This record gives sequence, structure tokens and C-alpha cells, in this order.
Amino acid sequence: MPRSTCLVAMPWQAIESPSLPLGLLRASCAAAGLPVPRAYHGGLRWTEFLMAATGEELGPADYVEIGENGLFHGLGDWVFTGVLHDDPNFGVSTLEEYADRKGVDIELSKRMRTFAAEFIELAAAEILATDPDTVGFSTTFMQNVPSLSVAKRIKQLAPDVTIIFGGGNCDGPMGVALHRNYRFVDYVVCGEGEVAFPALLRALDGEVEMPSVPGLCWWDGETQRVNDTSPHPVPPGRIPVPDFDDWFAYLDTSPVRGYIEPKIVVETARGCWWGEVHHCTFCGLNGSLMQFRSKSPDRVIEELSYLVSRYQVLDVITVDNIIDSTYFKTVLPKIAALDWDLRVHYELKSNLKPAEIETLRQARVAHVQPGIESLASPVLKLMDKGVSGLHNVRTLRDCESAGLTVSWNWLYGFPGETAADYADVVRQLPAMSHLQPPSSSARILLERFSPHFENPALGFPQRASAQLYEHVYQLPEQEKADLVYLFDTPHRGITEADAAELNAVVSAWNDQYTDSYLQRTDEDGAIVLQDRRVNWPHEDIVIDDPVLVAAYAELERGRTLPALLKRLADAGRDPDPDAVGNWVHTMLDRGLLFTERGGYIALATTAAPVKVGTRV
Amino acid sequence: MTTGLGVNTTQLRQKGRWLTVTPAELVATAPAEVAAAGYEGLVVDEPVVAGDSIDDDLRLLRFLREATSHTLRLDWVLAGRPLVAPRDLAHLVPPTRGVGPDATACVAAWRGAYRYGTFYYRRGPGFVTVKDVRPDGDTTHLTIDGESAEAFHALAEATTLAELNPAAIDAMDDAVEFGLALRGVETVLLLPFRMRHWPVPYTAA
Repeated sequence: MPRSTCLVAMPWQAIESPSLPLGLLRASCAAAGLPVPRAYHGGLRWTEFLMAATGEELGPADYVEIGENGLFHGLGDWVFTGVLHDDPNFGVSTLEEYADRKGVDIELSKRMRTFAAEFIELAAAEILATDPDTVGFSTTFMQNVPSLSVAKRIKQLAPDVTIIFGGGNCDGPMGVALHRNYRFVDYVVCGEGEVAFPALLRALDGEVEMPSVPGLCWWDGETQRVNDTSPHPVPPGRIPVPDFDDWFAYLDTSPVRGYIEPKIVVETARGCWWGEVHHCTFCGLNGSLMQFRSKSPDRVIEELSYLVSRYQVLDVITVDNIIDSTYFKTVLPKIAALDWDLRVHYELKSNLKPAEIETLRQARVAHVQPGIESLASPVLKLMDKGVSGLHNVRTLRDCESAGLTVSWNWLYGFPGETAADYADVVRQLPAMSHLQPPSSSARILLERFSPHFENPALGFPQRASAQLYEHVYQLPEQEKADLVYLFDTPHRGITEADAAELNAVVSAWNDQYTDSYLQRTDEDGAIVLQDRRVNWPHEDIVIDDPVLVAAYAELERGRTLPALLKRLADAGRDPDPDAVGNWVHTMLDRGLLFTERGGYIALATTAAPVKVGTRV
Repeated sequence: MTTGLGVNTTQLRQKGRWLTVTPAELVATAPAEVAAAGYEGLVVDEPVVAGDSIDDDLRLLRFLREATSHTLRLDWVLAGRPLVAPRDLAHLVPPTRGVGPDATACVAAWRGAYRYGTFYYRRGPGFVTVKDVRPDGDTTHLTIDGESAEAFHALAEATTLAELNPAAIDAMDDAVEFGLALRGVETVLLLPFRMRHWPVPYTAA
């Protein structure tokens, strides 16, 4: 009998999209000539379970609330940690004290936790009902404890079933620590799984030796063995087209289907081309493997077409950490030419040119994450982002004109930053109420794999596993320090008191955005700035002097005053330096320009997006 | 050269990138062409009369469907009340105001119900998806494929019944039954607009 394998994606895998790791491993097994593993969609099953157990008082929206907002407090793991530790009270008082200190609402998590044990029992039974020889768990972020809970129960019920873990939470020392501390996990695959996982299945069948499986943690008697990961990352050509057939088939029968709009997940590149040369100091998202690899344009179009056609879904999430910059000339124009009404998400670098933003719009990219992080150049320099505050304001402005939704967070707390780095920028933020605000402003956490983590000399020599793990894992600190992704450190950079003003302005910005517009129109050679921003005079400002019309066009690109005067002079405009200087400062006082470090950039958009609920 | 800022407090909306048309010109106007020409919006210089004939009303709604699809802003005044159910207006750009009590009441309800992106379709390879989340009704998500998708596209393009082949006529009858289309005496109208521009935030439609 061929080996029977069941792959599992436990909560808090997104319920609106299939698990990419499971899709890739199913396809990898098929490509390796192995039987295609079954899949258990624990996120959907948990949602269904909650709906049934509560008469739909709890449902998809509650799942999403924990899944999207619980990470930095460990709430998703905490829901299941009593089951893992065979102690209904484990972590309860610890979380309550933590929540009191941090002002975190934990009522939803507490309610969900009352159903956790029953669900884990059900999940273990349902997985075993597929009669597996092997059960493989993919775990990222808050999937660890729910996955460990089910794995432990499976091992109790069926000791002969082989338990394998892999995924982002198993990268580097985290996977080794997980394997070391949870002995019911037989094997852990650290690193990419496309080659290693099929190789492990062959090793389990005795076709190859365990030491040959790259990145594998395994037990040699009572000795833990840790194989080296492959020195060669999986080339893009060997990353298969994911197989989501079972997820879509399951979703069609699920009561969750009525609450969500399913999305397909596409991976066009791995690694980060910026991070290869300038690793952003706070970012650990690429784990131990930064090397950038992207699929060929033809392959991307072929894969996208296949997935969209097969699953009849037009919402596409690309999971790349950064777009291949050559795609602006290759992939995106081809997507635009398809004339499909896609809704695509992409992560980008923020120094986008206007033409690139227009290319994104034409390719039906509706949502971007440009990694803006801050509008203060000194802080961006500390991050090694390679962009200035002016760049980021321009990107926000041009994305607004193109109708792209921009997701970003304002990060602070960088070693070396000072309150003075923020003062001038924060003072100007009310003028940007018509541009998309950050979701929040927050102090950075220390992430494993980031330069801040790897190099204590960058400012975080003191660190301990984050407090949130105290109510998640019953492990000594030295084990947690190897297992977890987030770490607490003494605060660096601006103080909480300094940050309070930033937080207040960001909060007001969020309140004002929907009702604020500042738009440029052209009329008979004049520029008209229609100002409809909250807390600014609602009026139409006319710029009709030909020199100032030319000056405004220059300021849309971002110029210093000397550069502006030179550009005007080069164009034969013969500008009066004092008059232009005065005009620039008048524009600045009126909130029509943003300035930083001697540069100025115009703030008005050239078009206004449809903001739902405000504009008829 | 002036160093001050010229401030014009008059309404700019009806100048510059706004195109002014008569009610008679309105239904003959192609919103796609207006948008492509760089106009931000369109102003109708007289009240638009509705409620005299279903065919005229469907022609008006067709214009509104296309204007909504191209996110063209409209400044128009309604006289009378279209001969369709209020729910069949809720996803289309509403009038700025009404003339007379009947139109005023209709516009108030219409503007109250309107939200961009509540009833639209999306074109994919060999299939169409339809989303209907208009108020006062069930939420509907449909996927139409194969020959039905081709008939759907024919229906989306059609203005009159005479333009439809027998297969598209059958599809139209089904679409009318499912609330996706309206049939007049000579005219036909697919109700949802094609989603060409996502709102901000992109999840709001």
C-alpha cells in the first residue's frame, strides 16, 4: 500500500483563501511521483465548529478578528494552549494580567477557548478517519499551538502515525526547538519544503536515508539530529503550481462559503531583492532565506491564468514580499491585456514612479503594501529603507490618484531616532488627511532573523522572548528564546510620551480621511486645487501665473527651492527667486505642499478615488 | 508675478473637466468615451424626466449603469419617478435632487440606499461573477460560465430586444427572473454594472 499522508492547516490560516503551503506540497508530491496527500482545512473546520456550537453567535468575522489582530498578543495560540498543556487554566491568569496591563480586549478569545478542547478532539478524530500513515502540519505565526494540540492528541490515539511539522515557524532554530520540546513531533522540516517533504516521505518508506533529507530534524534514538538545509534555495522553476482542488471542493459544501469571497493565492517570487543588499533593520519576514528568485513572466501569466480559470476566482493575493521590478515591463502589462476584472494584491518597494503606479492600476492591482513605514527621512535612513519621506509622500499621493488601496503602518522606536526627527513631519500630517493614513502607529518589536536581532550592536543587546509567549508556552526561557519569533527589548528611540502626539495625529488622520479631498484640475492653462479637506478651508485655489504653473508641475515631482529655480531658469521662465520662494512658503502654510530636509512636494492628487459611503 | 494664492470660491464642478449635456443628449452619451476624454463628471442642464415610458427609463438606467461603471460623477436633477422598483436603482449614481414631491421622495430614497459597488459583475476567462449586496434583499454571489456567460455578455451589450439571438433571449428571460435584468417593450437592460474601478478601501465593494 502506498503511504497515506494527510496535510493539516490549523487555525489561524486565513479562511478566505487556501493554504499555499498545503497546495504546494500536494503539487510537489504529485510532481515527485508520490500519491497526492489529502488535506485537512482546520481553519474552516474551526469556524464551522464555532458556528454550530454557538448557533452562529460566533462565526467567520470572529475568526478573522483573532486571526488578523491576535498575533501581537498571542491570542490565537492562547485559545488552544490549555488543550496543549492538559490544563484548562494554563495561561488564563497570565493573559488576564497581561491584558489589564496592555488594555487588550480578550473576551472573544476567552469565549472561543471554551470550545477548544472539544474541537481538538474532533479534529484529531477527523484526521485519523482518513487513515493516514503520516500527518504533516504546516505552521506559521499563530498556528503552532493549535497544530501541536492536534498532533499530540493524534499521537495519543494512534502512536504509529508519523507526525511532521514544517512551515515558517520551523525556520532555523525555531524548528529545532519545536522538535526538541515536543517529542510527539517525529520530524521537523526546517526551510523550504518542495524538495525536502517528498524526500522525507521517501525516507519514511526506506527509499533514502534520513540524513539525506535537507533541513530535517529527526531522532536517532535519544539523539536529536539536525540535517543541514540545502545550500541551494528551491529555484523558481521547481516551485510547482499549487493544487487547491480540495480546498475549493470543501468550501463549496461549507456554511462558511456564504460569508466569504474566496481568493486564490499566487507566489511569483521568493526572497527580497532589496534585502539582499540593504536588509531593512527591523524585518525578519524572509526568515533565513533572503535570496530573491522570481518566476519567468510567461510562467506567471500561465500560472495565473490556470488558477483563475480553474477556480473561477478573480481575487488574487500574491504572497511575494516584494514584486520583481522587471514585472512592470513584462508581467503587469500582460495582465492588463487580459481584460479580466481581477482584484490583485501586491507588496512593493515604496519608491514607485507614477508610470509604475499607472501600470499597477491597469493590471487591476487594487491593493498594495509599499512598505512605507514612516514619512521621516532620518528614521527611514535608520531602517535602511532606501527611500526618503518625500518619496513616501509621493507614493501615497500617486496611489491615491490611481485609486489603489494602500496598507501601511507607521513604525517607531528605532535606535538612534529622536523626537526632533518627527517634529516637523508630525506637524504637517494634518495637511495629508486626503491621503491614505497608516492603519496604526506602533513601536517595533524585535523579530527573529532581522538585522536588529542578528546584530545586537544595532541597538537591542538586551532581549527576551516576548511577554505574549508567557501565556502561550510552558517552557523555560532558553527554550522559548529558540522557539519564538518576537522578542521584547528595552525601548529605543522616541519615548512613549513623544509617541503620544504621533499616535493622536495618526488617529485623527484616520478619522478625517474618508471625507477629505485635495485634487488638482487644469482649466484653460491654469491649475485649480480643489480643497475639500477636513479642517481646511473648502475653496478652489487657482494658479494661473505661467511661471507658477510651471513651478507647481516641478513640485509635483519634488524639488528643493534651488533645484526648482534652476529648473524654471533652464526652461527659460526667468523666475524671481524671492517671489517664487514666497509663493512656495505661502503654499506650504496653506497645506498644499509637504516639506522635509529642504525638499518640497505638492500634495494634491490628480484624481480622487471612490471612497465608499461618502461620495455621490 | 503674484505671491498670493488666487482663491475662487465659486463652484468649479461645472467647469473644467465637467461636461455639460442636455437631457436629450444624456442617453446618447457614452460614459466610456466621456471618461476616456478626461472628464471627471457630467452635468445635465435641465431636469431629466422619468416615468413616461419604461423604454425611456431603461435607456436612462443604462446610461447610469455605464456612468457608475466608469466612476463618472454626475450632477443631474430628476423629474418624475422611474417605472422600476426602488431596489433596481440603488446601485446606480443617484440624482443630485428631485423636482416636485414625487421626484424628491424618489431621490431621497435613492440617495439613502446608494452605495458604490453593491451590484456589479466581473468578467473572467470563460465566466462571469455577479455580486448583489443591495439593501433590502438577500446577498447573492453568482458564477456564470460556458454558453451562459457568452449570453450574459450579449445581454450586457444589448440595448434592444431585437439585438438578441434566441439563446440570449432565453438567457434574458432567466436574468429577468433572477432579478439581474429588466425588460421593457422594446428595450432590455442588464442591471449590474461592470466593476472597472475598485473603491478605497478595495474590500468595500
